[in-house]
Amino acid sequence: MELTFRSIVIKGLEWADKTYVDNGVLYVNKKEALLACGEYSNIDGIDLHIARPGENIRIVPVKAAIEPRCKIGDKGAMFPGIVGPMRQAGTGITLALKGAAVLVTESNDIEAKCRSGAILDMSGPIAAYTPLSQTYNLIIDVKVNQNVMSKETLSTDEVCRLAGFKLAVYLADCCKDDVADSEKTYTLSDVSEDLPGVVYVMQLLAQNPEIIDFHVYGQLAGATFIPTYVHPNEIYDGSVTTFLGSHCTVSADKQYMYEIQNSPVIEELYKLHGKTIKFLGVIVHNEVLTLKGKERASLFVKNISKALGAKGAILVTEGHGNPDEDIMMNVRNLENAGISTVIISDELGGRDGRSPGLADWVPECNAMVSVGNMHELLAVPKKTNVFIGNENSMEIVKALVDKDPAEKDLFFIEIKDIPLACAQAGISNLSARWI
Amino acid sequence: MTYKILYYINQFFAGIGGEDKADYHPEVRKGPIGPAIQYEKNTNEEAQVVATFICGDNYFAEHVEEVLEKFSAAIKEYDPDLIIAGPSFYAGRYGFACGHVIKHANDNYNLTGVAGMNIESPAVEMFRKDMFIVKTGNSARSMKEALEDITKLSLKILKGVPLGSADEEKYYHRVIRKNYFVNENGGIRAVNMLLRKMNKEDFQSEYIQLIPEKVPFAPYVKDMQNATVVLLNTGGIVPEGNPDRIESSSATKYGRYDITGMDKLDEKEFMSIHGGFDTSFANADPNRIVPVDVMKELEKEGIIKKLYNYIYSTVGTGASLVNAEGFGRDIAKQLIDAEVTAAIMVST
Repeated sequence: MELTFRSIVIKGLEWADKTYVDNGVLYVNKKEALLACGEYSNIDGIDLHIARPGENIRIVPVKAAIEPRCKIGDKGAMFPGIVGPMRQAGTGITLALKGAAVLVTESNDIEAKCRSGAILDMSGPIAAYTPLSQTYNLIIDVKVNQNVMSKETLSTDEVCRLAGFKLAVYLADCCKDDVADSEKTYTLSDVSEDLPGVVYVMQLLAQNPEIIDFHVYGQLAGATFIPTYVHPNEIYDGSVTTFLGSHCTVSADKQYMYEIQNSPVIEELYKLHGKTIKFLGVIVHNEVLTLKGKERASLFVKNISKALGAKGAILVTEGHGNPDEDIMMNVRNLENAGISTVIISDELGGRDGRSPGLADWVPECNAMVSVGNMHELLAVPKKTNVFIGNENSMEIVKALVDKDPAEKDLFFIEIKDIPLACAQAGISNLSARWI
Repeated sequence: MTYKILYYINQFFAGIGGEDKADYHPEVRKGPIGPAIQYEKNTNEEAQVVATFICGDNYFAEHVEEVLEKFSAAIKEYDPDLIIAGPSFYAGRYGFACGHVIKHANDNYNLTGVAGMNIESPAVEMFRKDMFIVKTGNSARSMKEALEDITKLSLKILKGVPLGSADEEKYYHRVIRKNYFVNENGGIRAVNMLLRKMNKEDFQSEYIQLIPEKVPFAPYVKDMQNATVVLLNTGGIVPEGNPDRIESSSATKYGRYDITGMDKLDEKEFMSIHGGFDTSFANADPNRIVPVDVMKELEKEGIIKKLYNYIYSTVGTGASLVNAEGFGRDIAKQLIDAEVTAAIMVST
């Protein structure tokens, strides 16, 4: 499978009469972009906003972050089964708008029924913790219908999810005829059999059959999903998609779509393929709630890894608590099968950093990359010049602390509420150390 | 400015004598004595040892409270900016004394202290959480190096220079994890670590955890007819309005709620504030997480003696282990005191 990957680097974002890119600036026709999001009867409407790096803007809750991408030509599919047709993804030509992102938030949710936090500031202390403060963001603001929301949250989630992917494809689609800044080819070419094989194990939340966690080729991959193999090119074309649904309080260590599209592990393994390793591909694991389910998923991860001839595995996770059990089980099973493992995980160290970081640990686990203690407190401004989203969600974000920060206009949050602050697929630069 | 140091040493390093003088009574001498002399030199006049507190190791061990009182008096008299004790290397009793004087100064006078010990010293595990203990060799042969490291760290603390990691500053970490930004992202670090591990080269895990305590299953309740049963839950069932403001995730507290006289939890009076699942079903009928309705029926039928008239609630998702263990121990103690004989723990 061969994928030609073209990038246009975005360095500006402006409203215009037409959607196109010129000199790195993405111009967007708002009316057209709104149409591209789709029409839905169960919400009150959609608005679009722009947020650029360094601006004094706050967005809460960030339910999705997606890099605009589309296919060029008639081969392949982008977000197959969701936006693109149901056919082989990861082949043909892909265009990505690097440095841009589509974000999805919601407003009008008076009672904060969605119960999601996820706070993003484009400048200030929060901005330092997330790559989403460095992207030019086009924000979909879904005005929820309170009557619908009072009965159930799933149908509103579905709107938020679809609108995001549709807009992401639309934006890239409008830039198809422009000259790309760079082009790369991704293929898992035949290499020496002497090189050690490495797999990338992507654990994703699948906590409730009815909560929208992640999809594979458009199929909700909940509790009944069995771990499967996907080619890394298929990941680049959005065959595995994620979304932060209602009632999900995971955001710092959520694998937002943007992180999956820009997976640093896949990028590194591709770079080393044929030099020091043989990159074998990606195994998608669903983190279910039952012990039997976890044991079953881990069995398949081990079997697929062995069948592929893996000597090494990098395991990344999503969420915390019971997913720690999945990763420990996978480490134990893989190590016992002679496969070396390294995990990426955050820590739940408590606000004082004194609590053990994971819910469980096995002696076989001797190599972990820590992406930080998500409980650490951060003093952030009470107000920004512009607020996009749901003011009521702020109640979820505010940490209850005995004393306020010294400065009057600040309040405390735990960094767990900053999207990608403790990025468990490894896109961010935070870590933790002993003091 | 010149910082003022109060320095603690034992009878041996004061040149008074060895084991035969181990019951030497506490004494405060003006200026530096023994290793304190070299320490002061190392600081290049940035710090001055205003006094040296000397005590025999046995005397200290047998009269802890009395010596600490005298140490308090020395603090009041000399008003130091920092305490230094030792280095005590491998020594057990001396290390114990060093740890105690620093902890005492910290607890009562908010003074920071620096000690120096070898990893084999039992005082390291006793006191590392409470103070900076610089890593040293196992005997006085490593005095020079130990004093250099103690000097560096103490001057940084005095000047308020931001400290690096425990490894960089050469002290035993205080069992605290602190976030920091690194140059390479997590993905690149993971791939590099895997390459080293597969090649059997040295690698440094960024975190290793002790295997968590496994709680054995409690024996089953033999006599249900005489049992007082309590309902506990991590599903966030609280009175409407969440009076204790328990967090939706990463809870730092639990609540105890009176259900006296209730045949069930009324959906207008109770709700779930859990942040990890769709709470609409729990809100429609809170008894499905805390089954007061069913338990009351069992009580009427005489299958259990009594449903305890309080329920306990917290939110499980994202809780730190230390908080969760604390809640568990607290609640267990209250239940034992209240002579509750059985508990149903509903987790979500």
